[in-house]
Amino acid sequence: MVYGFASLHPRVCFLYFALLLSFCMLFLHPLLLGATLAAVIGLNLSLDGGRALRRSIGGYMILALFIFIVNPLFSSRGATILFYVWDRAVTLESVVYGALFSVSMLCLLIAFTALNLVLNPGKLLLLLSPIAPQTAFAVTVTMRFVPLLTRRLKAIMTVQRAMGYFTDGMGRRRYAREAMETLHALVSWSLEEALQTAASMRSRGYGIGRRSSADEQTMDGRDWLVCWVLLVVGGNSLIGRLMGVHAYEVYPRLEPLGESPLGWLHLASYLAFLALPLIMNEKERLHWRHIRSNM
Amino acid sequence: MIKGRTGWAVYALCFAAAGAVLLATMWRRELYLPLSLLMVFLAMLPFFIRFERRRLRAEELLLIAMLGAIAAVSRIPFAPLPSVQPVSFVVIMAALVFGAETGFLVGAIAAIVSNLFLGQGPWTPWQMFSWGMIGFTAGLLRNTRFMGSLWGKNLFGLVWGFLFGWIMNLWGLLGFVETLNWQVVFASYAASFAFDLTHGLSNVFFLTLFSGIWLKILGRVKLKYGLLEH
Repeated sequence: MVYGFASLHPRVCFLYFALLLSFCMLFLHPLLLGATLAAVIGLNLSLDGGRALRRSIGGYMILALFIFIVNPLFSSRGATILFYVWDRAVTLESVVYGALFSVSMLCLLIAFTALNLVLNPGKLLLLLSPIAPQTAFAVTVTMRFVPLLTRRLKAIMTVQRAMGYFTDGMGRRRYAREAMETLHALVSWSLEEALQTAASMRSRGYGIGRRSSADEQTMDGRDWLVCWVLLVVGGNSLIGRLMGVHAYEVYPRLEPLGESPLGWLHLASYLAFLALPLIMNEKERLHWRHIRSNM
Repeated sequence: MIKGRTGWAVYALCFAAAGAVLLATMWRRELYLPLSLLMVFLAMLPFFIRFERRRLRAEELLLIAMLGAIAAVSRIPFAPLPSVQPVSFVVIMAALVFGAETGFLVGAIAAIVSNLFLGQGPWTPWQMFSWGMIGFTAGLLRNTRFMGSLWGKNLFGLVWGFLFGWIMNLWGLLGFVETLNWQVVFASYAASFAFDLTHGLSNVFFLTLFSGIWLKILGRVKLKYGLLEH
Protein backbone atom coordinates (compact mmCIF):
# COMPACT_ATOMS: atom_id res chain seq x y z
CA MET A 1 0.00 0.00 0.00
CA VAL A 2 1.23 3.50 -0.79
CA TYR A 3 0.97 5.82 2.17
CA GLY A 4 2.83 8.57 3.99
CA PHE A 5 5.90 9.93 2.26
CA ALA A 6 5.59 7.76 -0.86
CA SER A 7 2.05 9.04 -1.48
CA LEU A 8 3.24 12.63 -1.96
CA HIS A 9 3.26 14.12 -5.42
CA PRO A 10 6.22 12.70 -7.40
CA ARG A 11 7.65 16.20 -7.81
CA VAL A 12 7.90 16.65 -4.05
CA CYS A 13 9.48 13.23 -3.65
CA PHE A 14 11.91 14.08 -6.39
CA LEU A 15 12.84 17.35 -4.72
CA TYR A 16 13.45 15.50 -1.47
CA PHE A 17 15.72 12.93 -3.09
CA ALA A 18 17.56 15.51 -5.16
CA LEU A 19 18.41 17.32 -1.91
CA LEU A 20 19.17 14.11 -0.02
CA LEU A 21 21.51 12.80 -2.72
CA SER A 22 23.39 16.08 -2.91
CA PHE A 23 23.77 16.05 0.88
CA CYS A 24 25.14 12.51 0.65
CA MET A 25 27.75 13.81 -1.76
CA LEU A 26 28.51 17.04 0.11
CA PHE A 27 28.69 16.21 3.80
CA LEU A 28 31.85 14.71 5.25
CA HIS A 29 31.31 15.74 8.86
CA PRO A 30 31.22 12.54 10.99
CA LEU A 31 28.16 13.65 12.96
CA LEU A 32 26.12 14.53 9.89
CA LEU A 33 27.30 11.46 8.01
CA GLY A 34 26.24 9.23 10.89
CA ALA A 35 22.84 10.91 10.99
CA THR A 36 22.49 10.50 7.22
CA LEU A 37 23.38 6.82 7.35
CA ALA A 38 20.89 6.18 10.16
CA ALA A 39 18.21 8.16 8.32
CA VAL A 40 18.58 6.44 4.95
CA ILE A 41 18.56 3.00 6.59
CA GLY A 42 15.53 4.04 8.60
CA LEU A 43 13.84 5.30 5.46
CA ASN A 44 14.40 1.94 3.79
CA LEU A 45 13.02 0.13 6.83
CA SER A 46 9.92 2.29 6.99
CA LEU A 47 9.30 1.95 3.25
CA ASP A 48 9.45 -1.81 2.76
CA GLY A 49 10.89 -3.29 5.94
CA GLY A 50 14.37 -3.28 4.38
CA ARG A 51 13.68 -6.03 1.86
CA ALA A 52 15.19 -4.19 -1.12
CA LEU A 53 18.14 -3.09 0.95
CA ARG A 54 18.90 -6.60 2.13
CA ARG A 55 19.18 -7.79 -1.47
CA SER A 56 21.81 -5.24 -2.44
CA ILE A 57 23.66 -4.42 0.78
CA GLY A 58 26.33 -7.08 0.16
CA GLY A 59 27.57 -5.45 -3.03
CA TYR A 60 27.44 -2.01 -1.44
CA MET A 61 29.55 -3.16 1.48
CA ILE A 62 32.22 -4.50 -0.88
CA LEU A 63 32.36 -1.16 -2.69
CA ALA A 64 32.53 0.74 0.60
CA LEU A 65 35.27 -1.56 1.88
CA PHE A 66 37.25 -0.97 -1.30
CA ILE A 67 37.02 2.79 -0.83
CA PHE A 68 37.97 2.43 2.84
CA ILE A 69 41.13 0.49 1.97
CA VAL A 70 42.22 2.52 -1.05
CA ASN A 71 42.52 5.87 0.69
CA PRO A 72 45.11 5.09 3.40
CA LEU A 73 47.14 3.08 0.89
CA PHE A 74 47.56 5.97 -1.50
CA SER A 75 47.60 8.94 0.80
CA SER A 76 50.28 9.62 3.39
CA ARG A 77 48.99 13.00 4.48
CA GLY A 78 48.25 13.58 8.13
CA ALA A 79 50.28 14.06 11.29
CA THR A 80 49.55 10.92 13.33
CA ILE A 81 51.47 7.99 11.89
CA LEU A 82 50.04 4.63 12.87
CA PHE A 83 52.35 2.16 11.09
CA TYR A 84 54.28 1.59 7.87
CA VAL A 85 53.29 -0.53 4.89
CA TRP A 86 56.02 -0.96 2.24
CA ASP A 87 57.84 2.11 3.54
CA ARG A 88 54.68 4.17 3.28
CA ALA A 89 53.29 5.84 6.34
CA VAL A 90 49.70 4.99 7.14
CA THR A 91 48.26 7.87 9.12
CA LEU A 92 45.29 8.01 11.42
CA GLU A 93 43.93 10.93 9.41
CA SER A 94 43.96 9.08 6.10
CA VAL A 95 42.29 6.04 7.71
CA VAL A 96 39.56 8.30 9.10
CA TYR A 97 39.21 10.01 5.74
CA GLY A 98 38.82 6.65 4.02
CA ALA A 99 36.20 5.62 6.57
CA LEU A 100 34.27 8.87 6.08
CA PHE A 101 34.37 8.48 2.32
CA SER A 102 33.18 4.89 2.49
CA VAL A 103 30.28 5.86 4.78
CA SER A 104 29.39 8.68 2.42
CA MET A 105 29.35 6.25 -0.51
CA LEU A 106 27.18 3.83 1.51
CA CYS A 107 24.75 6.67 2.25
CA LEU A 108 24.55 7.55 -1.44
CA LEU A 109 23.90 3.94 -2.51
CA ILE A 110 21.33 3.28 0.24
CA ALA A 111 19.59 6.57 -0.57
CA PHE A 112 19.30 5.35 -4.14
CA THR A 113 17.68 2.12 -2.91
CA ALA A 114 15.04 4.23 -1.14
CA LEU A 115 14.65 6.39 -4.24
CA ASN A 116 13.90 3.31 -6.32
CA LEU A 117 11.21 2.31 -3.84
CA VAL A 118 9.51 5.71 -3.79
CA LEU A 119 9.97 6.85 -7.37
CA ASN A 120 9.02 3.76 -9.32
CA PRO A 121 9.40 3.80 -13.14
CA GLY A 122 5.84 5.12 -13.59
CA LYS A 123 6.49 8.13 -11.39
CA LEU A 124 9.85 8.85 -13.02
CA LEU A 125 8.17 8.89 -16.43
CA LEU A 126 5.44 11.15 -15.04
CA LEU A 127 8.20 13.56 -14.02
CA LEU A 128 9.91 13.33 -17.38
CA SER A 129 6.90 13.65 -19.66
CA PRO A 130 6.17 17.40 -19.25
CA ILE A 131 9.85 18.28 -19.82
CA ALA A 132 10.72 15.83 -22.58
CA PRO A 133 7.54 14.29 -23.99
CA GLN A 134 9.13 12.52 -26.93
CA THR A 135 11.90 10.97 -24.85
CA ALA A 136 9.40 9.91 -22.17
CA PHE A 137 7.25 8.36 -24.87
CA ALA A 138 10.20 6.48 -26.38
CA VAL A 139 11.20 5.21 -22.93
CA THR A 140 7.62 4.13 -22.20
CA VAL A 141 7.41 2.19 -25.46
CA THR A 142 10.80 0.61 -24.78
CA MET A 143 9.68 -0.38 -21.30
CA ARG A 144 6.60 -2.00 -22.74
CA PHE A 145 8.77 -4.02 -25.11
CA VAL A 146 11.04 -5.41 -22.41
CA PRO A 147 8.61 -7.93 -20.83
CA LEU A 148 7.35 -8.86 -24.30
CA LEU A 149 10.85 -9.53 -25.59
CA THR A 150 11.75 -11.41 -22.42
CA ARG A 151 8.80 -13.74 -22.97
CA ARG A 152 9.80 -14.21 -26.59
CA LEU A 153 13.40 -14.95 -25.66
CA LYS A 154 12.20 -17.62 -23.26
CA ALA A 155 9.99 -19.14 -25.98
CA ILE A 156 12.83 -19.17 -28.49
CA MET A 157 15.23 -20.70 -25.98
CA THR A 158 12.71 -23.40 -25.12
CA VAL A 159 12.55 -24.33 -28.78
CA GLN A 160 16.32 -24.35 -29.04
CA ARG A 161 16.55 -26.58 -26.01
CA ALA A 162 13.93 -28.95 -27.38
CA MET A 163 15.83 -29.17 -30.67
CA GLY A 164 18.96 -30.03 -28.72
CA TYR A 165 20.99 -26.89 -29.49
CA PHE A 166 21.45 -25.88 -25.86
CA THR A 167 22.97 -28.80 -23.99
CA ASP A 168 24.47 -29.10 -20.56
CA GLY A 169 28.21 -28.77 -20.42
CA MET A 170 28.66 -27.06 -23.76
CA GLY A 171 31.68 -24.76 -23.99
CA ARG A 172 31.48 -21.00 -23.44
CA ARG A 173 32.17 -20.27 -27.05
CA ARG A 174 29.52 -22.60 -28.39
CA TYR A 175 27.08 -21.30 -25.81
CA ALA A 176 27.71 -17.69 -26.82
CA ARG A 177 27.26 -18.62 -30.48
CA GLU A 178 23.96 -20.35 -29.76
CA ALA A 179 22.72 -17.50 -27.56
CA MET A 180 23.42 -15.16 -30.46
CA GLU A 181 21.18 -17.34 -32.62
CA THR A 182 18.46 -16.70 -30.03
CA LEU A 183 18.98 -12.98 -30.49
CA HIS A 184 18.83 -13.26 -34.29
CA ALA A 185 15.49 -14.98 -34.10
CA LEU A 186 14.28 -12.30 -31.69
CA VAL A 187 15.48 -9.41 -33.84
CA SER A 188 13.93 -10.55 -37.09
CA TRP A 189 10.70 -11.43 -35.29
CA SER A 190 10.37 -8.20 -33.36
CA LEU A 191 11.72 -5.48 -35.66
CA GLU A 192 9.26 -6.35 -38.37
CA GLU A 193 6.47 -6.36 -35.82
CA ALA A 194 7.50 -3.02 -34.34
CA LEU A 195 7.10 -1.47 -37.76
CA GLN A 196 3.64 -2.95 -38.12
CA THR A 197 2.77 -1.52 -34.72
CA ALA A 198 3.98 1.84 -35.99
CA ALA A 199 1.73 1.62 -39.04
CA SER A 200 -1.17 0.82 -36.76
CA MET A 201 -0.30 3.78 -34.51
CA ARG A 202 -0.22 6.11 -37.48
CA SER A 203 -3.58 4.88 -38.69
CA ARG A 204 -4.98 5.79 -35.29
CA GLY A 205 -3.72 9.32 -35.57
CA TYR A 206 -0.26 9.32 -33.97
CA GLY A 207 1.63 12.50 -34.70
CA ILE A 208 -1.37 14.57 -35.83
CA GLY A 209 -1.28 17.11 -33.05
CA ARG A 210 0.77 18.03 -30.03
CA ARG A 211 1.23 15.24 -27.52
CA SER A 212 -0.74 15.97 -24.41
CA SER A 213 0.25 14.50 -21.08
CA ALA A 214 -2.33 13.71 -18.46
CA ASP A 215 -1.26 14.04 -14.85
CA GLU A 216 -3.83 12.38 -12.65
CA GLN A 217 -2.19 13.69 -9.51
CA THR A 218 -2.17 17.39 -8.75
CA MET A 219 -0.23 19.09 -5.99
CA ASP A 220 -2.64 19.37 -3.07
CA GLY A 221 -2.31 21.33 0.16
CA ARG A 222 -0.24 18.70 1.89
CA ASP A 223 2.18 18.52 -1.05
CA TRP A 224 2.71 22.29 -1.00
CA LEU A 225 3.19 22.27 2.74
CA VAL A 226 5.87 19.57 2.56
CA CYS A 227 7.41 21.35 -0.39
CA TRP A 228 7.78 24.58 1.60
CA VAL A 229 9.16 22.77 4.63
CA LEU A 230 11.67 21.03 2.37
CA LEU A 231 12.70 24.28 0.77
CA VAL A 232 13.25 25.92 4.14
CA VAL A 233 15.11 23.16 6.00
CA GLY A 234 16.77 21.65 2.92
CA GLY A 235 17.72 25.00 1.45
CA ASN A 236 19.09 26.09 4.79
CA SER A 237 21.24 22.96 5.04
CA LEU A 238 22.47 23.27 1.47
CA ILE A 239 23.32 26.95 1.62
CA GLY A 240 24.92 26.50 5.04
CA ARG A 241 27.11 23.73 3.67
CA LEU A 242 28.12 25.74 0.62
CA MET A 243 29.02 28.64 2.92
CA GLY A 244 31.31 26.33 4.86
CA VAL A 245 29.29 25.30 7.93
CA HIS A 246 30.15 21.74 8.94
CA ALA A 247 33.03 21.58 6.51
CA TYR A 248 35.05 18.97 8.35
CA GLU A 249 38.84 19.24 8.10
CA VAL A 250 40.68 15.94 8.52
CA TYR A 251 44.15 17.19 7.66
CA PRO A 252 46.64 17.83 9.07
CA ARG A 253 45.04 16.72 12.36
CA LEU A 254 41.50 15.55 13.02
CA GLU A 255 39.33 18.53 13.82
CA PRO A 256 37.58 18.27 17.20
CA LEU A 257 33.82 17.88 16.93
CA GLY A 258 32.76 21.15 18.52
CA GLU A 259 29.57 22.96 17.56
CA SER A 260 29.19 26.69 17.17
CA PRO A 261 25.73 28.16 17.88
CA LEU A 262 25.15 28.54 14.16
CA GLY A 263 26.35 24.98 13.69
CA TRP A 264 23.58 23.82 16.02
CA LEU A 265 21.02 25.63 13.92
CA HIS A 266 22.39 24.04 10.77
CA LEU A 267 22.44 20.62 12.41
CA ALA A 268 18.85 21.04 13.60
CA SER A 269 17.56 21.97 10.17
CA TYR A 270 19.42 19.05 8.62
CA LEU A 271 18.04 16.62 11.19
CA ALA A 272 14.54 17.97 10.51
CA PHE A 273 15.13 17.38 6.83
CA LEU A 274 16.25 13.79 7.44
CA ALA A 275 13.41 13.04 9.84
CA LEU A 276 10.61 14.39 7.65
CA PRO A 277 9.77 11.22 5.65
CA LEU A 278 10.22 9.02 8.72
CA ILE A 279 7.81 11.16 10.72
CA MET A 280 5.28 11.13 7.88
CA ASN A 281 5.43 7.34 7.54
CA GLU A 282 5.30 6.63 11.26
CA LYS A 283 2.44 9.05 11.78
CA GLU A 284 0.39 7.21 9.17
CA ARG A 285 1.28 3.86 10.66
CA LEU A 286 0.28 4.93 14.17
CA HIS A 287 -2.91 6.46 12.83
CA TRP A 288 -3.79 3.19 11.13
CA ARG A 289 -3.01 1.21 14.28
CA HIS A 290 -5.26 3.55 16.22
CA ILE A 291 -8.12 3.12 13.75
CA ARG A 292 -7.73 -0.63 13.75
CA SER A 293 -7.70 -0.89 17.52
CA ASN A 294 -10.93 1.13 17.68
CA MET A 295 -12.71 -1.07 15.16
CA MET B 1 15.87 19.25 -35.61
CA ILE B 2 17.07 22.43 -33.99
CA LYS B 3 17.30 25.09 -36.58
CA GLY B 4 19.30 28.25 -36.92
CA ARG B 5 19.91 30.66 -34.06
CA THR B 6 18.07 28.89 -31.22
CA GLY B 7 19.99 25.72 -31.95
CA TRP B 8 23.35 27.44 -31.73
CA ALA B 9 22.25 29.30 -28.63
CA VAL B 10 21.41 25.99 -26.92
CA TYR B 11 24.73 24.42 -27.83
CA ALA B 12 26.65 27.54 -26.83
CA LEU B 13 24.82 27.59 -23.51
CA CYS B 14 25.73 23.94 -22.87
CA PHE B 15 29.36 24.68 -23.66
CA ALA B 16 29.39 27.74 -21.43
CA ALA B 17 27.80 25.80 -18.58
CA ALA B 18 30.34 22.99 -19.03
CA GLY B 19 33.12 25.54 -18.90
CA ALA B 20 31.69 27.03 -15.72
CA VAL B 21 31.50 23.57 -14.16
CA LEU B 22 35.14 22.92 -15.06
CA LEU B 23 36.19 26.20 -13.49
CA ALA B 24 34.19 25.43 -10.35
CA THR B 25 36.11 22.17 -9.89
CA MET B 26 39.30 24.18 -9.60
CA TRP B 27 38.08 25.84 -6.42
CA ARG B 28 36.03 23.20 -4.68
CA ARG B 29 37.60 19.77 -4.40
CA GLU B 30 34.64 18.31 -2.49
CA LEU B 31 32.25 19.13 -5.32
CA TYR B 32 33.87 16.77 -7.85
CA LEU B 33 31.11 14.16 -7.79
CA PRO B 34 28.05 16.43 -8.11
CA LEU B 35 29.83 18.57 -10.68
CA SER B 36 30.91 15.55 -12.72
CA LEU B 37 27.31 14.35 -12.75
CA LEU B 38 26.27 17.80 -13.95
CA MET B 39 28.92 17.56 -16.64
CA VAL B 40 27.59 14.23 -17.89
CA PHE B 41 24.07 15.69 -18.02
CA LEU B 42 25.30 18.68 -19.97
CA ALA B 43 27.09 16.38 -22.40
CA MET B 44 23.89 14.48 -23.11
CA LEU B 45 21.53 17.45 -23.13
CA PRO B 46 22.04 18.55 -26.76
CA PHE B 47 21.26 15.04 -27.99
CA PHE B 48 17.98 14.93 -26.13
CA ILE B 49 17.01 18.48 -27.09
CA ARG B 50 17.61 17.56 -30.71
CA PHE B 51 15.56 14.41 -30.30
CA GLU B 52 12.71 16.38 -28.72
CA ARG B 53 12.67 18.90 -31.53
CA ARG B 54 12.65 16.29 -34.27
CA ARG B 55 9.35 15.34 -35.85
CA LEU B 56 9.70 11.60 -35.97
CA ARG B 57 7.57 9.24 -37.98
CA ALA B 58 5.92 6.56 -35.87
CA GLU B 59 8.11 3.95 -37.56
CA GLU B 60 11.30 5.75 -36.60
CA LEU B 61 10.28 6.16 -33.00
CA LEU B 62 9.21 2.53 -32.72
CA LEU B 63 12.45 1.40 -34.33
CA ILE B 64 14.55 3.33 -31.82
CA ALA B 65 12.44 1.97 -28.97
CA MET B 66 12.64 -1.59 -30.27
CA LEU B 67 16.40 -1.45 -30.78
CA GLY B 68 16.80 -0.03 -27.29
CA ALA B 69 14.65 -2.80 -25.86
CA ILE B 70 16.58 -5.46 -27.78
CA ALA B 71 19.85 -4.05 -26.46
CA ALA B 72 18.42 -3.99 -22.93
CA VAL B 73 17.18 -7.60 -22.97
CA SER B 74 20.09 -8.99 -24.97
CA ARG B 75 21.82 -9.82 -21.70
CA ILE B 76 19.22 -12.45 -20.84
CA PRO B 77 20.33 -15.35 -23.08
CA PHE B 78 23.91 -14.72 -21.99
CA ALA B 79 23.10 -14.78 -18.29
CA PRO B 80 25.00 -18.06 -17.65
CA LEU B 81 28.20 -16.51 -19.03
CA PRO B 82 29.50 -14.00 -16.47
CA SER B 83 30.36 -10.54 -17.80
CA VAL B 84 29.71 -11.48 -21.43
CA GLN B 85 27.01 -9.13 -22.69
CA PRO B 86 26.18 -8.10 -26.23
CA VAL B 87 24.63 -4.71 -25.34
CA SER B 88 27.55 -2.74 -26.79
CA PHE B 89 27.49 -4.94 -29.87
CA VAL B 90 23.79 -4.27 -30.47
CA VAL B 91 24.35 -0.52 -30.01
CA ILE B 92 27.27 -0.56 -32.48
CA MET B 93 25.20 -2.41 -35.04
CA ALA B 94 22.26 0.00 -34.69
CA ALA B 95 24.63 2.93 -35.11
CA LEU B 96 26.37 1.47 -38.15
CA VAL B 97 23.08 1.04 -39.96
CA PHE B 98 21.03 4.01 -38.72
CA GLY B 99 23.65 6.65 -37.96
CA ALA B 100 25.20 8.51 -35.05
CA GLU B 101 22.12 10.13 -33.52
CA THR B 102 20.12 6.92 -33.51
CA GLY B 103 23.16 5.11 -32.15
CA PHE B 104 23.35 7.53 -29.23
CA LEU B 105 19.64 7.26 -28.49
CA VAL B 106 19.59 3.47 -28.65
CA GLY B 107 22.52 3.26 -26.25
CA ALA B 108 21.16 5.85 -23.83
CA ILE B 109 17.61 4.48 -23.85
CA ALA B 110 18.86 0.92 -23.37
CA ALA B 111 20.75 2.14 -20.29
CA ILE B 112 17.75 4.04 -18.88
CA VAL B 113 15.39 1.14 -19.39
CA SER B 114 17.61 -1.58 -18.03
CA ASN B 115 18.16 0.61 -14.96
CA LEU B 116 14.42 1.20 -14.63
CA PHE B 117 14.09 -2.53 -14.20
CA LEU B 118 17.24 -3.16 -12.16
CA GLY B 119 17.12 0.02 -10.06
CA GLN B 120 18.69 3.43 -10.58
CA GLY B 121 21.98 4.34 -9.02
CA PRO B 122 24.71 6.94 -9.30
CA TRP B 123 25.96 4.90 -12.25
CA THR B 124 22.84 5.52 -14.40
CA PRO B 125 24.00 8.77 -16.09
CA TRP B 126 27.47 7.36 -16.68
CA GLN B 127 26.05 4.24 -18.27
CA MET B 128 23.73 6.31 -20.46
CA PHE B 129 26.68 8.41 -21.49
CA SER B 130 29.03 5.49 -22.19
CA TRP B 131 26.62 3.41 -24.23
CA GLY B 132 25.34 6.54 -25.96
CA MET B 133 28.89 7.49 -26.90
CA ILE B 134 29.62 3.98 -28.20
CA GLY B 135 26.67 4.42 -30.55
CA PHE B 136 27.54 8.00 -31.40
CA THR B 137 31.18 7.32 -32.29
CA ALA B 138 30.29 4.17 -34.22
CA GLY B 139 27.76 6.18 -36.20
CA LEU B 140 30.24 8.97 -36.92
CA LEU B 141 32.77 6.49 -38.26
CA ARG B 142 30.32 4.36 -40.18
CA ASN B 143 31.20 5.54 -43.67
CA THR B 144 34.96 5.43 -43.19
CA ARG B 145 37.18 2.72 -44.59
CA PHE B 146 38.26 1.96 -41.01
CA MET B 147 34.79 0.89 -39.86
CA GLY B 148 34.15 -0.85 -43.16
CA SER B 149 36.87 -3.39 -42.46
CA LEU B 150 36.45 -6.16 -39.94
CA TRP B 151 39.77 -5.25 -38.32
CA GLY B 152 38.60 -1.71 -37.82
CA LYS B 153 35.34 -2.79 -36.22
CA ASN B 154 37.15 -5.22 -33.95
CA LEU B 155 39.66 -2.61 -32.85
CA PHE B 156 36.77 -0.22 -32.19
CA GLY B 157 34.97 -2.83 -30.08
CA LEU B 158 38.09 -3.70 -28.11
CA VAL B 159 38.96 -0.08 -27.39
CA TRP B 160 35.42 0.73 -26.29
CA GLY B 161 35.41 -2.32 -24.03
CA PHE B 162 38.15 -0.60 -22.04
CA LEU B 163 36.85 2.95 -22.41
CA PHE B 164 33.46 1.87 -21.12
CA GLY B 165 34.98 0.41 -17.98
CA TRP B 166 37.20 3.44 -17.49
CA ILE B 167 34.31 5.87 -17.75
CA MET B 168 32.30 3.74 -15.34
CA ASN B 169 35.18 3.78 -12.84
CA LEU B 170 35.15 7.55 -12.85
CA TRP B 171 32.20 8.17 -10.56
CA GLY B 172 33.81 6.21 -7.76
CA LEU B 173 37.19 7.84 -8.37
CA LEU B 174 35.90 11.39 -8.59
CA GLY B 175 33.66 11.19 -5.57
CA PHE B 176 35.34 8.98 -3.05
CA VAL B 177 39.09 9.10 -3.45
CA GLU B 178 40.92 11.85 -1.69
CA THR B 179 44.19 12.18 -3.57
CA LEU B 180 43.38 11.77 -7.21
CA ASN B 181 46.80 10.97 -8.65
CA TRP B 182 47.90 8.64 -11.43
CA GLN B 183 48.69 5.83 -8.99
CA VAL B 184 45.10 5.68 -7.79
CA VAL B 185 43.77 5.87 -11.33
CA PHE B 186 46.08 3.08 -12.46
CA ALA B 187 45.18 0.98 -9.44
CA SER B 188 41.46 1.26 -10.15
CA TYR B 189 41.98 0.53 -13.82
CA ALA B 190 44.12 -2.47 -12.95
CA ALA B 191 41.37 -3.70 -10.61
CA SER B 192 38.79 -3.56 -13.40
CA PHE B 193 41.18 -4.81 -16.10
CA ALA B 194 39.79 -8.35 -16.26
CA PHE B 195 36.20 -7.11 -16.64
CA ASP B 196 37.14 -4.55 -19.27
CA LEU B 197 39.15 -7.14 -21.18
CA THR B 198 36.21 -9.56 -21.16
CA HIS B 199 33.94 -6.79 -22.38
CA GLY B 200 36.35 -5.86 -25.17
CA LEU B 201 37.02 -9.44 -26.21
CA SER B 202 33.34 -10.34 -26.25
CA ASN B 203 32.78 -7.31 -28.48
CA VAL B 204 35.49 -8.66 -30.79
CA PHE B 205 33.94 -12.11 -30.70
CA PHE B 206 30.47 -10.84 -31.59
CA LEU B 207 31.71 -8.42 -34.22
CA THR B 208 33.83 -11.04 -35.94
CA LEU B 209 31.16 -13.70 -36.10
CA PHE B 210 27.90 -11.81 -36.29
CA SER B 211 28.35 -8.27 -37.60
CA GLY B 212 27.71 -9.44 -41.17
CA ILE B 213 24.34 -10.99 -40.46
CA TRP B 214 23.20 -8.15 -38.17
CA LEU B 215 24.07 -5.52 -40.75
CA LYS B 216 22.07 -7.54 -43.24
CA ILE B 217 19.00 -7.87 -41.00
CA LEU B 218 18.96 -4.21 -39.97
CA GLY B 219 19.85 -2.99 -43.46
CA ARG B 220 16.96 -4.92 -44.91
CA VAL B 221 14.49 -3.31 -42.52
CA LYS B 222 15.93 0.11 -43.27
CA LEU B 223 15.65 -0.41 -47.01
CA LYS B 224 12.18 -1.91 -46.86
CA TYR B 225 10.66 0.90 -44.83
CA GLY B 226 12.95 3.75 -45.92
CA LEU B 227 13.75 4.67 -42.35
CA LEU B 228 15.91 7.31 -40.66
CA GLU B 229 17.61 8.45 -43.83
CA HIS B 230 19.23 11.82 -43.38
